[in-house]
Parts: sequence; C-alpha cells; structure tokens
Amino acid sequence: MSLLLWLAGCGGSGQLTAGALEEQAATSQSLAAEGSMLAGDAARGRATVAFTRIHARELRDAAGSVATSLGEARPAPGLAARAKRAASLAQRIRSELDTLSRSGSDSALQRRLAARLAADAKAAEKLGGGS
Amino acid sequence: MKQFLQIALGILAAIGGFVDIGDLVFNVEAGATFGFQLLWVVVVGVVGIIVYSEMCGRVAAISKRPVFDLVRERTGFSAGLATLIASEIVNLMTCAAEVGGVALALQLLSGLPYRVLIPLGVLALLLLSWYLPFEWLERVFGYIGLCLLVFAVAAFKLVDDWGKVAHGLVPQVPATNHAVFLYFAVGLLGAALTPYEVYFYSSGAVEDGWGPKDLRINKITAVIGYALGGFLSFALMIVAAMLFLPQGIHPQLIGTPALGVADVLGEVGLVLALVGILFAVGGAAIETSFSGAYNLAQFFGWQWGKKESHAGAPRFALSWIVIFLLAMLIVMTGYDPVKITEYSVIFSAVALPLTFLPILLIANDPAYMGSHRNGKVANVLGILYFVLILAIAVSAIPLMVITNGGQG
Repeated sequence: MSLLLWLAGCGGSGQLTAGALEEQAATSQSLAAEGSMLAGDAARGRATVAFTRIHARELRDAAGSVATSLGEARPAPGLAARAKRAASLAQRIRSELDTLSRSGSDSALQRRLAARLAADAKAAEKLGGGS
Repeated sequence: MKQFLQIALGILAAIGGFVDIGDLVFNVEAGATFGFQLLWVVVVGVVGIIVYSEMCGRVAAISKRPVFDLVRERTGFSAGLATLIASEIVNLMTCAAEVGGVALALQLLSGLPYRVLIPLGVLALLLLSWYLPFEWLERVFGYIGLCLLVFAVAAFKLVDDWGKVAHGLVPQVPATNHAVFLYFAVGLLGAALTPYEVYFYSSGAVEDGWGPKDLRINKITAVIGYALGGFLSFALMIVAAMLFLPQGIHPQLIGTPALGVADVLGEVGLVLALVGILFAVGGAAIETSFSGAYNLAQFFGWQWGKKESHAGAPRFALSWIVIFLLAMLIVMTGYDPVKITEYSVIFSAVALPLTFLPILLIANDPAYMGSHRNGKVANVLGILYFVLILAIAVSAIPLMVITNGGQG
C-alpha cells in the first residue's frame, strides 16, 4: 500500500521552476483566503472555538509545508528574489494562522487576522502571476 | 401503508448514506476548481449507480444469493479471485479513508487530538457494528447523515442565478485545463460508482430476505434514493463553486466544506454539517468493512451475515473486525485521509470493470434470472455504462499522474 501511495502521489525535490513557484504561490493564496474566511466567521460567531482552533492549525501546517519547501528549494536562474518573497509570505501566513488557532473567542483579533490574511491572499496571487 | 413506510424509510437511509468521503472530497474540489461545469458528470454517475444497484438488488431478490457468490460461480475461480483481491484492496483503502474522516470530523467537533480519536472512533464503530442489528445500523447512520441537507440549504441561500447552475447540467468541456477536468470527471464517476456500494446493497438485500415481491421496492429505493442522494452531491459542488472558486480556495481538508456552511448558516449550520459528515463517513466505514467481509465469506463459502449470531458466522465477524483494525493502522501511520480518499477513488475506478462486468453478465443470464433477466433498457444502459467504466479504468491512473492528483 505504501508503495502504491508513493507511486501515485509523491514527487521529488529539485530545482524550483517558474511553474512550481506559481503552484506554491497558488497554494499560499488558497490557504490565506481560507484562513481569512475562517477568521471572519470566527469573529462573527459563525464558527465554534474548537473548529477554529483545529482547522486553523491544519491550514497553518499546510502553510508551514509550503514555507519549508520554498525555503529549501534551489530556485532556477532569475527566480531567487521571487522565491524568497514567496517563502517569506508563506511563513507570514503560517504565523497568522498559528495566531488564529490560539485566538479562542477574541473576535477583535480574529477580525484583524481576517483582514491580514485577505491581504496575504492578494499578495500571493500577485506573486503567482509573476509581479 | 406498511410497504409505503418501508420504502420511505429505505429512501431516507439511501439519501443519508449516499455521500461518503470520496463524494465529499471530489464534489467539493470539483466545484472549487470548475464551478458548475462538472454537475452533469454527477448525473451520469448517479444514473450509473442506479442502473447497477437495481441489477444487483434484482439478482439478489431472484437468486436469493448475493452478487459475489455468483461472481465466483459464473466467472470461475481465477477471475473471481482477481475480482476478490481488487475489491479487498479498494475496500480497505476506502475504509481507511472513511475511518480517517470519522476521526477528523470528531476532532473538528470536539477539539480532541486526532491520534486519540482514531482508535476511539474505530472502537465506537466496532461496538455499534457488533451490537446493532443490520436495519438499525443502516438507518441510524443514514438518518443522521441527513444532516448533510444543510449543504442544500446553504446552496439555496447562495445561488442567485439558477440558470447558471442549470447550464452545468449540459455536458461541456472547458476551453483549457482538459486533463484536470477529465481527472475530476473520472474521480466523480469513481466516487459515485464505488464497488462496495453494490456489494453491500446486494448482500443487504439477501440479509433482508428479498424475494420477487420486493422487486418494486428495489427499483424505487435504487432510483429515488440514489437520485436524491445525488442531490446532496450537487449541493456540495454548488457551495464550493459559489464560495471557494471566486476566492481561489482549493479545498484539501475535511473541514473546508463545513466552513462553507458556517459562512452561510453560522454555528448551527457548522455543527450540523460536521455531524452529517461524521455519520455519512461513519456509515460508509461500516459499509466498506462489511462489504469486504461479505466478499471474503461469499467467495470462500463461509457462513456469513449480520443477522447470523457472531458465533454462527465467526469468520465473517472476524473479517470485518480485521478490516476495521487494518484501516485504523493505515490511518495511524499518518497518511492524510484526504489523500487516501483520492487514491482509493482512483484505484476503485481501475477495479470497476471487475465488479460491474459479472453483475451485467449474471443479470442477463436466464439460467439465474429466468423471466427477470435484464430488459432492453437495462441492457442498453448496462452496456453503455460498462464501456464508460472501461474508459474510466484505463484513464484513471494516467490522469492522476499527469495532473499531479488534480493540482494541474
């Protein structure tokens, strides 16, 4: 089974191409947008404390994987600056999601996090587009 | 009146039991990636499962024997063994995915650690499977799974232009991104046409003692139950299309669909969505473990059946317990249940012909079915779907590799 799963899904690490960078930026954008939605719902009392904590933690772990993967990758020529920006953005998203997972029922903090994560999502979208 | 009630209860259980973790993952991902463009594929999948489930129920009602029993007899030992191995691998992977889904839903509801909830969830499923009679198992999980109707409520609140939704029912292919589109189409069909559902359905019909007089119940339950179950798949896809697609959210977590409901309906909606997910995937976990045990027992000629006492069918009881425990071990290794779901649906798609060809052959064989063999409509649909199933089986793994599991 392990072999089947490995054959089916895993990829290897190597040079970070423009396409791979765009993919990672799209993942960051998705995680930030979802985090923003979660934070907004938590602030408006639409999500339980347990759900907010657990779901934000899962999103945080996913953002952490993106940050690690970007941090460890060897960018292709001409991509170093973009890759660095993408890694630092993913790290920021990870940190904001971590704060969200610990925010309990602090709706003011959740509202601020919703706004920051929405801004991060836009930044990631721009980065993915090559700007 | 009694028969009407029986049909109504069966339909309700079928609706609540239609969605499993595969439907949840693929419908939501498809909606978030392609909007309404894949709605028509859900219709194709639902018609397919209706056609083959009706055949399975009819075969069970007329021959009084479940499909797998007949598969071995009709196709011989070697082909039967190949079908058994493929079915057991897919069943185990699907059961692992459902068990992971149960633990994740419990975690999102309670906040308790995931790794503690995996064995607790399995223990609860084992105890319920051990003590509850067949009808209760089917109905408790089916009825509480109806909490998933909150997705339909959310969809109704979100959609302002039903014309756009209806356009998704017209077969279409996007201008770009064909491989990913095909991958999701194959995934949606694989999730709708899961082999365990037909094996469970047919074994359940034998357990319930169906005979020729139950053919009408079989037809009505299969058609209405699965069609309305497909309505839940629509709702999942619509919510994802309305909420996640515009924001570029690619759902990769079990909590994401529930977040969509929370966004529209608030905390009560969120809790209902999570309870619905818990019971839908919990019911599917039981169905997959039983389906695996049914197949083994029917192939090797062991005593089987939930209605038998555990001592009366010890190898059958041991089989479903072992399947649960193996599924638990797979999830405990740390594989992401959503990834296991994607692989299980795709591998299930590869194994589909081995399940559906024998059903088609037996349902069409006068030696088994007498005057109740397939009519023209069932045969035309059965053959068309078998061709489609072959195409799905051949393309599933290449598409998964080419698209990196739908990531593009």
